[in-house]
Amino acid sequence: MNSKTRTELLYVVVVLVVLMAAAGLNIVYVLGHESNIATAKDPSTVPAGSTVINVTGYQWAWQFTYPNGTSSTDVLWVHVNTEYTFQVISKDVIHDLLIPALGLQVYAVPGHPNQVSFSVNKVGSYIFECVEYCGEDHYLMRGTMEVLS
Amino acid sequence: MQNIEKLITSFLIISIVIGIVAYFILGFLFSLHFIGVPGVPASQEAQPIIATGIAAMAFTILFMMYPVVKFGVKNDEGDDFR
Repeated sequence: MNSKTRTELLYVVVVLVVLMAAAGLNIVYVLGHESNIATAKDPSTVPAGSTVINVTGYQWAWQFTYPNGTSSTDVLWVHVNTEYTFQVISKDVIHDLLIPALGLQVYAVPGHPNQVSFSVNKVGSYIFECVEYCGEDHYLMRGTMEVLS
Repeated sequence: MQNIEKLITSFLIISIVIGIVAYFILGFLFSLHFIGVPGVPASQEAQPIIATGIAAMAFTILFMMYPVVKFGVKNDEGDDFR
């Protein structure tokens, strides 16, 4: 084997090693991953001790209804280190609630409630918004999540 | 080891170092941004995968650009494939 062939072979082997390492990592991730993403509403899968908040998206605001019957519009009040479960529905068209600081995104679909659980570990004020274009005032569908101690 | 082999090995080592540095920088940036579940665990899972991607990018750039920088025609007379 001359030096040119050896060099070419080395190039091929190095590239294969890098690509296979990347593929291996991806396989390990996909197979061992438990996803915490929104699913269809199912009261039996609400985690024990989790506080359910009903979320309704409509043109053009978000309404949050708490277990004690009170509600707020475009402001979400939650407590730090407490687990909550959103049950999300839409009154009209498809909306999409995104809370970037939580990495949480859930679709609000008319007639198809979705559910997702979350908890916050830092007090503060964080934005949320609709990220599915839903009409001319889509940009108004934003607010703040106020995390209390 | 010949020079070219040493060169490629050094590309590999450099890209691994870049990947490790990227891993810690990503961890710091994610910790500034995410404040709860599911963001924190998801970002911790994504951190090594993104760092691997950055390392692969660094290796590819070094691998592809080195011959161009080293042996490329540097005059300004337009295309010259001699």
